[in-house]
Amino acid sequence: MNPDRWRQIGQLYHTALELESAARAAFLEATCGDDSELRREVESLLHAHEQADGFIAGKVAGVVAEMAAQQRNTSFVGRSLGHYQTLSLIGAGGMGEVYLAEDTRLGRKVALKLLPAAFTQDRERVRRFKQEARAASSLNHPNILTIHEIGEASAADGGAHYIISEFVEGATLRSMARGGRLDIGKATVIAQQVAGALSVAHEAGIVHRDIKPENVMVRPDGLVKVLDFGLAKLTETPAPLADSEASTNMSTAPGLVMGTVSYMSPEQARGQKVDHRADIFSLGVVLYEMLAGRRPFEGATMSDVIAALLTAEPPPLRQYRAEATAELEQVIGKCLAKAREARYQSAAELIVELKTLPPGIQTKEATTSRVEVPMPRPISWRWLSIAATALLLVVGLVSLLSWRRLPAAQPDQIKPTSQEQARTANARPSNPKAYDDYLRGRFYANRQKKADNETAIMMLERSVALDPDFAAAHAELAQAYVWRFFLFTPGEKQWEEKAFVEVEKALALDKDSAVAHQALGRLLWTPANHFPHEKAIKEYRRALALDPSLGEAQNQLALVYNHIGAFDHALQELQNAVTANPTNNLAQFRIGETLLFQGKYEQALTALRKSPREVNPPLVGSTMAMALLHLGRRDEAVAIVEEFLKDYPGDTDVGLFTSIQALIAALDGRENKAEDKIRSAMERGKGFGHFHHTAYNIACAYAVMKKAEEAIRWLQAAADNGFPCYPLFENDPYLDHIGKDPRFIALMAKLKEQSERYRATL
Amino acid sequence: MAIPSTRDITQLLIAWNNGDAAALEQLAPLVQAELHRLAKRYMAGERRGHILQTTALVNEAFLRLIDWQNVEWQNRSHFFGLAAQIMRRILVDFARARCREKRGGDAPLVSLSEAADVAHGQNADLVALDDALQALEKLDLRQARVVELRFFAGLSLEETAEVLKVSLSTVRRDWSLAEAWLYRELSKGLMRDK
Repeated sequence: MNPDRWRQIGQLYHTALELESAARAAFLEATCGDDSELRREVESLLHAHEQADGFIAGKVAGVVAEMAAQQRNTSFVGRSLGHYQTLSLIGAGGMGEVYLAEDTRLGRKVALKLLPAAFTQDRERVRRFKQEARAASSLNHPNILTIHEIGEASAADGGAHYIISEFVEGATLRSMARGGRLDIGKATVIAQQVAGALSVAHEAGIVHRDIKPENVMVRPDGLVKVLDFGLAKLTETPAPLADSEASTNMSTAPGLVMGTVSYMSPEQARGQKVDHRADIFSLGVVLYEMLAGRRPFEGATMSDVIAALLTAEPPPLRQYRAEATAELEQVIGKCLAKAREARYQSAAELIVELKTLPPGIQTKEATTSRVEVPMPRPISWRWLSIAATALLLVVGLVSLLSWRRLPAAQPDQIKPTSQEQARTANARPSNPKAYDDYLRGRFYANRQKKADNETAIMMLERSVALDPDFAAAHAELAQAYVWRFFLFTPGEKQWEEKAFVEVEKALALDKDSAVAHQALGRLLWTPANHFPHEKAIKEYRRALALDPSLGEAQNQLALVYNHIGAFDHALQELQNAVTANPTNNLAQFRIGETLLFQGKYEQALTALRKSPREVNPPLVGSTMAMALLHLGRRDEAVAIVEEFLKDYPGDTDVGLFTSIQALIAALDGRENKAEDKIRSAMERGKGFGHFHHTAYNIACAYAVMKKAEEAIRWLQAAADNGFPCYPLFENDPYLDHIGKDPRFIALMAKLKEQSERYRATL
Repeated sequence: MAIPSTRDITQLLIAWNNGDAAALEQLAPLVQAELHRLAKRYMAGERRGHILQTTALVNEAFLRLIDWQNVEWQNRSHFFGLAAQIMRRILVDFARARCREKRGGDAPLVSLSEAADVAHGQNADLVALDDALQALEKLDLRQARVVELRFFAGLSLEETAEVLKVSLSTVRRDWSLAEAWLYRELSKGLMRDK
């Protein structure tokens, strides 16, 4: 083509454009004559004109956005924030930049999200954000990105606000969707997991507000992680979106931010108050898009999209996905109802519907995607007969209500009790090898040595690999991961996550798996989770109702009872445990701890002497030191503390023994030394982790020094962070030094009330 | 790197305007850095659902970079003419580089990113747009200018008319035809890719 020809085409184009479309054909017929190529040119341009409106403006802006986010110009890589060192930029967007960082204290990789300064200049907004983010960080669910910390850099570091979360390797749903529509079975499993995350958050009163494919990550093993809970609130302003300023901006550059508007619920688009049902709508949009390859509400401009989502019905899914069943269509349609009253009223309800979709749509795993999503396999009656066979093979091998802590027991000698037979039959072991691995793994899983734990994990992993439907093996594996996390490698968060995943699998296969409930109780009861005593008690009790012989659940239940001051309940549980299994050393130890808390120091000491120190050196050592101290046997207490610190020069990760040293120094009347030790215990514990016992000891030290204000502050901190042990506080002689302080009396009154509330639920 | 003074940048702009091609090489990274900084601030400051506005961005970038007081600019239009060209250059170079990176193997996606997703595909589109614009320049330079001013400097039809010193209706016609043509050319490219 040359400029002259182009001019000719242009003239015809403009003239034709001014004609009614009906008259154009005749006009082109007359003017182009035999030059059919000319006519085709003009017609195709006219056709393009119809569709072109505003198509490129967004593209330019999109590239600007990406350029703004690129790594090259960010100066934060390689810098330190507290004990986090940024390694590389892994993402950026309106909500700030995300870096891969290393937690130098724990030597693990984390994601560090730096919030944009513009969000954090408004103090009220920051306060609201922190409140929300804290609440979100307490959510503990395998499908919710775990938040480790919400921090603020020092002024010297620019005072930036940041969030530390687990680092997830995987792909966002957005990038997965680029590979084309998702397999229906896969998409519904992903949606179930997202709904699972929402369900937990909603129960905690947290609405995500920004569910979209960018906020859903799928790990290579298929586990879904929902990101950024609570963060959307940061960008919210009270004014509705449809105000004049907003709509002006919207009309200028169609295309760019449609991604965000497209997942909004009608109430969000109207700027109305949002509740959890908005998330259900957004999830509906996401699911529709995954399946149809297009969004349910589309438009050329953002205003058009909003208009569509407010008024239009989405095109039937089957128009884009022939194999979608009517049931699936209905489920999505219900999510997308304009009126929230017409949607699913809870995410849990949606999960049930998704899970019970007719199998017709559970198509085979797509071969096109690299991401594997595990799907619970349908239960088959075949397993029952296999289970019976498997049991025959092992009957005579296994015993033990109480094998858990019998060091002499060899796996080959283990045989199931009738109770265990019932349970294992229920859990359908499918092949003898898997069952054998399970039994051996289970044996090692409950020995509290790292090497045994590793053996257990190896065997149980092999067992579930051989038989993915073997609930009991999943449950034991969860328990083995729990020990790995809590006893052996506390810094390695992945064990906690793996444990959650296994608990989920076990409970999905067998909701009556006692071991799974026991593991779940332990997983829930963590500092990050603010020690939810009641929830943990519920899980342990459930476990024990299903299997009264579960010694570990008894130990754990007693531990929780001790933290809320329910000593009589704890003792009863522990005595039962020891009677059932005299080698349950942990229960033996806890009896000593309970007696100490009750102020029965001599008896406590006697009990503690019966429990081998190896059960848990810091627990036994610190408890014994405290008992001796109360008995006035200062030098023996000092000897225990010093011996421990000789073996573990860094103290426990929460500075427990250092806090005992502080108390001893206070009792000695050496206030400077006591203050030093308090500072050093705080430094060790950093107020993070299972810190409340340290906090309590610090409170005692201050009380002994008659520093009432500090003592009360620390006591409050201990109570607020999982140790509201009213009867202990009330009777501890060290706290008597401040017993007449009105603030102490007020705090005790408050804690007493709380304690009574707890007891009422027991 | 020391921050270049507005005077340096102004000198570079003038040199480039006077035909010194090397000046643009020096100019581009400076403008890009500023643009980057501003764009980030815009994205942070805009509330969710708002749009990164090219016009405002370009305006502000240049206002900050150029020593307005001490230079006799022919007029505001002249400035925008330059701005649009620089923007085009910077953005297209960036997009080309990104396309090359993407072809160079798929790094594991470890992203919490929104922006990366937003701009996906748009890099390729922008490169295609630039190619098509170059073709259009050979057919009708003014039409190509209209597109450049509208897309890369975010000018309105009226402003574009002012810069090019032509009537509004001429700009409208140029714009309509150029946009249809670009749309058709880019769609062809898409068909080919598929």
